[in-house]
Amino acid sequence: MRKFKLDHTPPEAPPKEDLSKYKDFGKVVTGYQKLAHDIHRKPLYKDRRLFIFVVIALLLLYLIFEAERTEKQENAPEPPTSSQPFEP
Amino acid sequence: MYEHYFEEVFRFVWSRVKDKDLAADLTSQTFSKALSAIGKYKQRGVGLGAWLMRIAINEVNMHFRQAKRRAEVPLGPQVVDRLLDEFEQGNHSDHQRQRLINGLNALNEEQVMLIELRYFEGRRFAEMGTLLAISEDNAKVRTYRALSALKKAIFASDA
Repeated sequence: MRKFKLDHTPPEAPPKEDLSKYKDFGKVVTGYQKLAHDIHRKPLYKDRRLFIFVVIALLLLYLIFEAERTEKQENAPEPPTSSQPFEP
Repeated sequence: MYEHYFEEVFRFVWSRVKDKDLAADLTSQTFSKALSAIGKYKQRGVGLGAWLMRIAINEVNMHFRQAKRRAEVPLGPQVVDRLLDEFEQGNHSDHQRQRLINGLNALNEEQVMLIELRYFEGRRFAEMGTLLAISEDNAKVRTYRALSALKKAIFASDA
């Protein structure tokens, strides 16, 4: 938001001759390129191939992790049962 | 397009921000946006100049919304007096001008925009309608509403 204030010597509009100082078409082109790049950047969910690739990669990672976990559980030594009497 | 409309857009933006460097930045952004959206521009009675001004208005409004601190815009006594003449004719004191400025600061952005276009820049209602993408009648109605809101705000600041 802006706030107005009373100023008895407000800044004067730049004269016509000074305007060329503020002209910079290069800046306009740079701004346009940035905007165009942003516009053409597709979000992930809209790029079907990339989206499927990411989903498959995540699924594979999950399966590998699960397989490793079950293998570890199977190979782990069985804990001693508590029913056996203690022999000093 | 840039060569033809640069001055018009720059002056329009400068009249709102009163800062030459900031006006230059916002003018560049306006043209960049126009360039990226030129495919969407369809000539339906709206000239290229008015279309550019609409983009410029959006850029200025966005700048003021994003500004963390409230930006201060200086207004000269001649500009304020032009609007004060709508309420009372004659010579105006600084006290009256300050009351009006307090009233302006209490209005919303759309109301301020309407008052700026009509009383600070002296635009016709048809032109205002084109710039704000509303009908001429609607521009008239909204401007008078903004003016009565300003009147209320002035008297509220008095109370």
